Amino acid sequence: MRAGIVRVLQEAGVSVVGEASDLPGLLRLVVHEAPDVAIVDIRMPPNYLDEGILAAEQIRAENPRTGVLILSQHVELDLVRPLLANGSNIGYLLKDRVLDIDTLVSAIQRIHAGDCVIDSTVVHQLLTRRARPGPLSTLTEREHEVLDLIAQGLLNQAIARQLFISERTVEVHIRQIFNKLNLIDPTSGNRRVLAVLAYLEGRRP
Amino acid sequence: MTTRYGPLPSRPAVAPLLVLAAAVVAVPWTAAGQGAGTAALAGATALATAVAWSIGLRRTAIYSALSLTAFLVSSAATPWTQTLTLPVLAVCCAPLIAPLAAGALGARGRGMRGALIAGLAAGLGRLLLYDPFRNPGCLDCGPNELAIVHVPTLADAVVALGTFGVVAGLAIGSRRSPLPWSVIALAIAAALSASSLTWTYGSVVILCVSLTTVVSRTLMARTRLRQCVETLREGDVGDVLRSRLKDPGLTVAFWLPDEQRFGTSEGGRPEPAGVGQGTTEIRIGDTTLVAVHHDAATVGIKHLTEVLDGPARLALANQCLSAQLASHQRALRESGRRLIDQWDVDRRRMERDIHDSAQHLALSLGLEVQHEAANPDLDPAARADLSRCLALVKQALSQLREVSHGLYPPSLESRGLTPALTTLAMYSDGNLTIGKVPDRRLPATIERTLIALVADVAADGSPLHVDAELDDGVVRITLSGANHQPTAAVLDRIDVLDGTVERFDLALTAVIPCA
Repeated sequence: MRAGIVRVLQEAGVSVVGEASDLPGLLRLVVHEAPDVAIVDIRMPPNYLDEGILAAEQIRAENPRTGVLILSQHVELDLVRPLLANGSNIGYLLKDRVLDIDTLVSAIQRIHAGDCVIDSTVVHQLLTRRARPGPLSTLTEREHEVLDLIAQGLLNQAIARQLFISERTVEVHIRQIFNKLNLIDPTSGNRRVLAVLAYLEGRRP
Repeated sequence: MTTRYGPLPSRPAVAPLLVLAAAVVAVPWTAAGQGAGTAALAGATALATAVAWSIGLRRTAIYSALSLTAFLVSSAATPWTQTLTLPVLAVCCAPLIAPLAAGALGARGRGMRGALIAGLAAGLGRLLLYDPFRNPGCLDCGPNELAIVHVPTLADAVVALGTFGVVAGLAIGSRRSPLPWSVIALAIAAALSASSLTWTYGSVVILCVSLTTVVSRTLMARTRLRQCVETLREGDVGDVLRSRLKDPGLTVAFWLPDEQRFGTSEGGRPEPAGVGQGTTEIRIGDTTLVAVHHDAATVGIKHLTEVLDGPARLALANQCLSAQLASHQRALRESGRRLIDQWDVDRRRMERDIHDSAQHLALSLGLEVQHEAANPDLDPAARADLSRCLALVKQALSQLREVSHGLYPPSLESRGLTPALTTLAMYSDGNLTIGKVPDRRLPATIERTLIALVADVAADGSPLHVDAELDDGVVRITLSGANHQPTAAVLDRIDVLDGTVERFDLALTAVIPCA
């Protein structure tokens, strides 16, 4: 599978500087090659538990300029939450995304640009859960769309481009959303993503 | 020390009668030689010896009989018997008297040995320092050929010192409340020292007092045992014995014939006998029922089998059966835990197999299909077919993800209950919310059981809220809004872990100890 991903990225014009089959190999490669983004499976040898999380933490500690994209077979948002809370240029995608090359490349580029990326499937799963009666039902359709893109980690400018509206309009929608959901509107991009995710999971941030 | 007692031994009545007959003959003889007081003491000692034999204190009775015989012979009113027996009595009296007194006081070890040595020293000292022939006040006394010098004062002092040594050694060596017995013994020693009584007279006083004490204690202990046996019918044998015999360190183990070992009342492994403890097995016929580890100085427990009556034996046998049942239940629970653990291990392996092989294969297939679909030379119809294949692969991946997560939450093993419950909530299509959950990791079997419980109850899609807390080693989880009962498999899991499940209206609470 690793070879397949490498081929897909190379065909999309992404330069792949190395591959590693385990955690120590990955860490050595990152130190040696200093890549822009490291793509890491959340489960790696020897235990196949959460070695990818450990790798991401170590990479961010020792090579802060290297972005990290974590791939996971399952929706394990809780595992990556500490990483999302502590920095930018980090992302979390389901492994299925490797079959959607545009999304994969876009995520890599956004992470390299300093954004926080969350898989849209995860966000949709949170948004489309059979909702309890509550403030979410008070949001307009446009506000739902904006909330969806905030949860995926897009900044205001990217949201505006995606929805073909002005950035000022986006700011207005965001203020409305946060007021209706009774959320604080933090300035940090990652913190507002986390606030929205926490709300959607049913816990206060 | 292990003592076994079978059926009650026969007690010939001949021996006590012989002792009494000998006393009847010897007492007048003693009275002629030593006076009425000594004769009365000798008579009382003979009676007590007979009683000791009749209640099974054989060794005690033999000691007493030998001592009394030595005294009676030495008290004969002929000079040549005094000369002949005085050395024997002086040297042998202490070794004969001291064990008896030791039995009265429950003395052991160094105290006992010290008493023996002091007694021997007193006897030898008198033998070497006193010649009754040279004592003007001793009429018809024969010479002591073994005396080195005649210093009556020194001889009396040696006797007094030795007597103090005997009683002190016995008191120090006693394990059972030595104070009252030490006071009695010291009083006797003081009386002997203050008077001009000979060692022989003092010896018979000690003999009589000691023998009476031993017999009295034995009779009292047997009375306590009989009371103990009556209580056995109603209470736990260990509690009853500890209370009645005043031995808080006493432990009881029941014979488990299916496992060919002893076990506690809960079916567990008993502790071995500790330092200073002895073991007594209680048998009914040829069957061992109970092993009792007790203080080695506990009086009377050896005779417990003799005083057990029918109802008490039934009660003991019943408690043995209860212990056996508890042992079976314990084995069943342990077997259940092993089954649960193995079940979880198998599910975890299946989840990993799906993740590591099926899902990766599906992804690899998808990548290949995608690569082929991107070929610019491909026929449009073929490209459309490949796109449909790719869509099917994505569907398969999504379903594999749900199946493998349902088998075993992957984050449970690495991160614990909170992430696993959160992910379960995310997969639950909105009906499950998670409240307060302990941050601390719980034992793996318990975490898996809690996840299984929540997943099972949430499966019907009704809104459900979960709160869990850990308090004093017990985890309590409450599912608010639970519409249906958990399945039997989940309830069995909780039961094997000694947990309970209660329902109050729409709230289901499971309580599981974490030990």
